Amino acid sequence: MTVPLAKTGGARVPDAVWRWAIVLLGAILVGVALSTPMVLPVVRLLLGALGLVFAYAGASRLLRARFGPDFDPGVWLAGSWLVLIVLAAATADLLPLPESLDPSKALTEPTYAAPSAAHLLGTDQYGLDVLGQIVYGARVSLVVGLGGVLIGGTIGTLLGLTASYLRGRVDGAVGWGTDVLLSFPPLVLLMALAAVLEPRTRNICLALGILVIPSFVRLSRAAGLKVAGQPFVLMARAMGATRRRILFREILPNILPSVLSYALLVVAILIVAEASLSFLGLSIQRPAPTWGNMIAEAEAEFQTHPFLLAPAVPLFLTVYSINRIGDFLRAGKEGD
Amino acid sequence: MTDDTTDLLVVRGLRTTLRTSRGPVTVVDGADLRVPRGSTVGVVGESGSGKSMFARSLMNLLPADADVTADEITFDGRELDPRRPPHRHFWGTEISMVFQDPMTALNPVRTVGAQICDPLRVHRRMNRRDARARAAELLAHVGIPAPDSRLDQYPHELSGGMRQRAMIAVAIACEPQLLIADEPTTGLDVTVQRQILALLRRLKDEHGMAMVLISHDIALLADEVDEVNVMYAGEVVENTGVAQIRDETVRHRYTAALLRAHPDVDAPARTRLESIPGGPPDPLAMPAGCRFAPRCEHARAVCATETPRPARDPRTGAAYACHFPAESAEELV
Amino acid sequence: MAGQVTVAETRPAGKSALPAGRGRTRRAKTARYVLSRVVRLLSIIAGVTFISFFLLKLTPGDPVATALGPEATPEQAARLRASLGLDRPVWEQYLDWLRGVVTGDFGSTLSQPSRPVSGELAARLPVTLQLIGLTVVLSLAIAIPLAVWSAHRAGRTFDRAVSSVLYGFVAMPGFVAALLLVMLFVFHADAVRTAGLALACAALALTLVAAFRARRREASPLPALIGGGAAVLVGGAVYALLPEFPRQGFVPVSDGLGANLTSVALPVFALTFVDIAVFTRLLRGDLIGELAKPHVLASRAKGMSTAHVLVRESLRPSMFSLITVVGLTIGQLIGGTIIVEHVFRLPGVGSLLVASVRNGDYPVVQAAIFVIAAVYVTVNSLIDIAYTYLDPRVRQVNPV
Repeated sequence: MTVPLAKTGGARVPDAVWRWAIVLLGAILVGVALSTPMVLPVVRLLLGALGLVFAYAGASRLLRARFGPDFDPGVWLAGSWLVLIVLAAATADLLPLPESLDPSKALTEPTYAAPSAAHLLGTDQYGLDVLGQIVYGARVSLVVGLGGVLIGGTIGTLLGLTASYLRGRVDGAVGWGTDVLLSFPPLVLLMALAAVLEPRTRNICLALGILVIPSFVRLSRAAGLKVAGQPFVLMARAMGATRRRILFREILPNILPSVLSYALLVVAILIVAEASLSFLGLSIQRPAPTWGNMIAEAEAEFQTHPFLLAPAVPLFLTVYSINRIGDFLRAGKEGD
Repeated sequence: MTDDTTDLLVVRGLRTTLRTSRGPVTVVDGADLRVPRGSTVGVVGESGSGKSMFARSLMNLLPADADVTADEITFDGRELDPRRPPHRHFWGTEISMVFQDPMTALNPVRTVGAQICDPLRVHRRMNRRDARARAAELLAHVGIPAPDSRLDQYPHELSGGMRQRAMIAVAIACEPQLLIADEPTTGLDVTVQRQILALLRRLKDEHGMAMVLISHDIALLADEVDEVNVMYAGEVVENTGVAQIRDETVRHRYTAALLRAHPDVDAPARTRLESIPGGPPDPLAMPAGCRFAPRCEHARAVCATETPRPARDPRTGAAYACHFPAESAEELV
Repeated sequence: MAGQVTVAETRPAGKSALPAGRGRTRRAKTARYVLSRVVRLLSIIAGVTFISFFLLKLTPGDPVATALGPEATPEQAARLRASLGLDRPVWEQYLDWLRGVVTGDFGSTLSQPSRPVSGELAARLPVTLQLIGLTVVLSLAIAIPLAVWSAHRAGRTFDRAVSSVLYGFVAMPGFVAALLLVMLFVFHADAVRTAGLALACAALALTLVAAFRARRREASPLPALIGGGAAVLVGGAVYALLPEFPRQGFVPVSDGLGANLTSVALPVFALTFVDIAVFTRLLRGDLIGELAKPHVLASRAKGMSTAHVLVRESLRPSMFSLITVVGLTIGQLIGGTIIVEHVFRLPGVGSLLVASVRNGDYPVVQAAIFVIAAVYVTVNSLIDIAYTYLDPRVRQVNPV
């Protein structure tokens, strides 16, 4: 049940005033949430979230009024978050963060500290800085997400393309293999692969890559079949082009856009997959931080120290942002 | 100005505007329509002339982003509000509609019988058994053999003509006073077309319905209707009796051009209206003055600047809006 | 006129001349279709056994050493190796294993004391199946009304609010959802109760306002009353009836249905997040496409109610693709159950799998992976076959 705020009142107040009022209300709610220590943390969290929703609703209305109805502030926010997280992950070693990797260097730090100026998101059981761990964890998440897509996407696309062009027995074999791999629920296959491989970043990339090969095969095979029937491919064949040339010069460039836009969404899926694996203790081990293993460690303590769940926020935001940008790009492509 | 005892439906100045991503588009712009009781009135125009939108506006069956306004809509002596959908028991019992493509206008996953029973159960509050019996009668009535077994079939199990008959059975189930048939024979082959038109004519006479027949085919209309409204670019440009169509004494240049596209009105309707050069104007960039002027052979400077005023032929009573109307049959040849 | 129907209108003979003849050919075609599906299913399950067996053969480390621990003597190790058949060629081991699978014998656990794997699985399967079943039912129960109303009000406030919330659901990993639910419903149940009360009050006020405004516009206040009433009921129920959810553990149905349901409620809620989002988004898109079709217009033209148009004319054709997606999401759901079984310490197949992977108990891992994959593929094949029986459009066209 949502009642549009701006329309209930006599509607005589100018729209801009309403918009600013909504932003202000949101800001006040966030302020209350941040500055009242005596209320329950959950209530503060809910207040803060509500405040953010209001601030966003008001701000997006203001921005739409300013930049036209097609302006989507959500996409801009999502993009900014991704830029921020990539920059942070890339420059993690240079950032002025307290010790967050080696417990032996954090012996003097307080353990389970609440957020403060020294530790913006507090410390964990060893006195390691949570914010710093999140930044290093971002590095793992992004590397395995991108690495997995790179491996799986390349192999899958090549297999799919070849199958679509050669047809016949090769196609049958690739199709059967794809079906077999797809008949494993994703996390189950990932766990089996993780059981076989040593939990190191490179191997996790490999496991994630194998996980996504079949879906890339399906996508590129279907797209390849569509392109292969088009006149310019027949033309190239009639002109005596080699198979490899047709595959890489004629067909691949045509299917690349759809493969890339799919790959972006797969990055988000893989980040969640790695985090889940980490959470189950089957990926990179402590004390090396990943978002998943930080949350796994927090699970035992989060009743008393809810701030240890902080890595869930960047995990959520990253996945959300990638999905949002992916949908935006796809919508733009269809609009053309 | 209207006599409620003879006119079933009177529409004056109907405007329909769709909100699209490219801005508001006025698809019907000030159209008038008068349907006397028991008569058949035709609406003709090229595709994109707004005739289907006009029909849907009459029934207020438009998407939510459409705005309809009218100076007057009177049905059966009752004033209707074009801005508000009618009470739903109005649909199907007072006015019914037959659509162009029975394949898509019938639900593919429900049986024909269920779809005929719908209006009976809703408007007539019949129970399942009575509705089914009545549905079988209706199917027989519209000329479908072995109606009992047809009731349990799905639309794709029927031929095109059968589907259109089933569609008509749905429309007349609650004996409406007015039937709007929107291109009821498009996509059917010629023999079936004639059978469907004959069926509509018979039903109209038996039930004393009035009918609005919409088509792109002026030759087809000439055989079926009492009166023709010619639409172009969202406007009704000419309203004339069927006699003028038959002996080609129409006044508006567009109507004349339409007739020329069918030199022999009595020939079976086959060809589309392609012999008028160009196409209907972009509704977002309507030409100033007469909207047909850019395609009109007889257009002069004034046509491109001034909107023609509605005029009435004193001899035939036809209404038209043209700066330089056709004078006689000879000129058309 | 009734007698004037010509040959041109009836279908070509042979294709649909007599219902009986058509029935027979259709049955033969369907039988052939089902057979081809079954053959394909078996070949894929064969592939599944192959992968689940050989993949784990690549596992580093010696399973016997893992099982016996560091104090074992070489004789003990040799005896165990022989009893597990590990001293024979890999192919023989595979065939042995396959033979066992066919008879339902998956070997014994490596972890001591050794127990039959099939017994372990059989004890844990019902828990996982209950989670999956409840999740699918609950997700559909929430997703279908949401999707129908969103499609009906596409682009309006309700639709936009729903779709942005669902965006969030999609981006919420299962374990985050699970921990959030624990935080709310276990650690801060009082706050949730208060929020329920607040929701009920706010919904009551908003409903009255909306109903009043509807009356003033001479529109029906019924939708506002139904929607608001539902919100009031939900809020009130949360306030008055919220049970105490256990942080972890599973209560079997034999110990009381209520206790059983409370013990699986939070895991199921955690699993529904993604499913609700997936189902709603898919169904909404389908429904919007369906609502734009001429038969919906025709249905309105014959005076059918909005409910009829939404449910009978649009939802029904869209249900078929929804069923397929439900089958496909079961794979994700199995992954999800692994996570929630771990978080809530439920004795299901998922937590067994996690523990066995960690302990290197590979016979259990093999068997669990095989059973999960086999169930998943079989369910999807059944859905494919059911599809051809249910959808009259597909039923008619030659099933290939």
